[in-house]
Amino acid sequence: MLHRRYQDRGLRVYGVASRLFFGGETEATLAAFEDQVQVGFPILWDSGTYGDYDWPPATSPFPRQALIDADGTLIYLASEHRQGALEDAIRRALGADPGPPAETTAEQ
Amino acid sequence: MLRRRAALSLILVLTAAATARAEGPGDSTRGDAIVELGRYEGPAFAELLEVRAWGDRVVFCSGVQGLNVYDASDPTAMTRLDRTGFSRGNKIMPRCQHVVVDEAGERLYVSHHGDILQRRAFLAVVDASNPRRLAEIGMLERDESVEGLAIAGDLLLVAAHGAGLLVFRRGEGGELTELGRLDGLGNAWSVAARGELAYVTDNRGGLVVVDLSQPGAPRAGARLDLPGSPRDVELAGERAFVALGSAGIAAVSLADPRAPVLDGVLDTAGTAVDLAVDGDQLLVADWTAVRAVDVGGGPMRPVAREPLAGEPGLDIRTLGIAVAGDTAFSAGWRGLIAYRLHPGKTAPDLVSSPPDVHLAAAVEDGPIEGYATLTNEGQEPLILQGFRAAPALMVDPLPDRLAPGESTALRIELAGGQRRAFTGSVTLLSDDPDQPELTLRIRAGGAGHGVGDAFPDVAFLDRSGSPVRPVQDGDGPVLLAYFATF
Repeated sequence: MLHRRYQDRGLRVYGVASRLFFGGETEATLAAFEDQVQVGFPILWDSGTYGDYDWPPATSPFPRQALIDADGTLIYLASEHRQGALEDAIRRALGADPGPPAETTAEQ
Repeated sequence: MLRRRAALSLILVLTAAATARAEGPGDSTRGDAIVELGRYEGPAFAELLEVRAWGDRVVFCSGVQGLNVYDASDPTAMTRLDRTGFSRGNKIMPRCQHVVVDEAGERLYVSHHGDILQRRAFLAVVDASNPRRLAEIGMLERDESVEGLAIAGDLLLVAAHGAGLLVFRRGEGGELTELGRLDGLGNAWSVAARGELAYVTDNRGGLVVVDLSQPGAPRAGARLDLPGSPRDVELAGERAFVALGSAGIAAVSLADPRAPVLDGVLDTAGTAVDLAVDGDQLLVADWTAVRAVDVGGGPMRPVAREPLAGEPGLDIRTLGIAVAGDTAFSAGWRGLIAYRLHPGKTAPDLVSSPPDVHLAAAVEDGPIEGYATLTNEGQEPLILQGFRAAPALMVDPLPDRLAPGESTALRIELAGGQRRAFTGSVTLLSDDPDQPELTLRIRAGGAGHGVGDAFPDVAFLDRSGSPVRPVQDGDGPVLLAYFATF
């Protein structure tokens, strides 16, 4: 939903598929996943960057979220999805007062 | 307002908290409405999913431990009766996502949606007539991905993503016979049934009525558009309740069962993925918290929230919820959790989002700042009594009171000149009865790219293997969401 809510204001979202765990994802597993969750943003293959961050400690290796502002500065790192914190960071990245979020009818 | 800033070790700023409590200690209505009774820990990666309660038993699917049945006659001391994997599943990490219990409580129907750990999707039937000896009596591998399940008389209904709704006849011996299917439902995620009607959530944003009067030819009826990403749907009286992901929960009027009407939406602040309803109480698995909502008439009213506190600094999440009377069960990432519900109790509830603050890596050069949002998610005014902070941390003034639902920004500044890796904490003191001291871990530095660093010039690969540099074209902020399909 955050993708659809903020894409018109310039936010770009990429799913990054890891090849590090359980033998790595394949095109087949990604295709099945895309059928299951039907995300509305591009999915890329990780080129080995997963381990290059100072991720906060977490029980699970996923999800991991990195938000980079328009100046190329990393402004948010998370090892768990937290809707409010992520949205706050997105709004900061889009400017101090980006205005109310646009209404959406579906979430991605 | 608290006017002082914490620049010295363990400064404690006190207010006249004792005079400010909203209710006295003798008030029998003041207290937590959700109280944790016990945890039944799995390994670090138990990944519990759907959980169901019936009678004095609880069953859940796990991402690594298959299907589990517990004796919950004493929810403070539950014991596992049995656990089973599946004949066609992953033998090392048997997994399933959804389970439903038949009317007699003796047969369990299970789905697995297919993923990197267990590639083929399947439906399984498990005899639970002796819960100490679970026995698979039916197995049906599927080409399509299967998700939520519901029982409707002698039918098993299966939400199957892009393949729509599948209808099976439940055989006496555990066999499943496909009778019909209905596609064109968007991304069918979950299903509930009553009489000849089924209600299917479309994860793209809707609830669809399906007529099952001819099970071999299910027909789509009315569609109600919903916000968010609808997942679970539960029926109660003349209403349906739908988990909408990060959009919260929806109440839907079924006064005309064939023409659902949106009654209201409640933003739960988290990501609502699963629901359970019992009487006037709706329980929500809200990702990192369990929430209770009063649905006893009129608008939905949040009652309480219980965070899934893990080990310090480690997040755990809940992806499933069940309720039976005054007891609830949460399917946590690290195991099953039991709760006692006290719907008449109210209390303040201090929440920090994020729960910890991660500051920039380059701390040698000068002061750096970080933020969290503090919210009173309780039903009573919250008194912020003060805070303790590590010596190098400055904390901006905070209000001394937060009304129910009110938020305030917590700004933290780490003084310059620190060594590269810094770990400290800020502890907030309040009259939140279940967390009178809420500690935020403050981290800075460490190995790897950190907040405040310039993002390096790295390339990812598109699906054809060509390099892509999404961060380098300067069109706006970029969110990289690392994921795996398990």
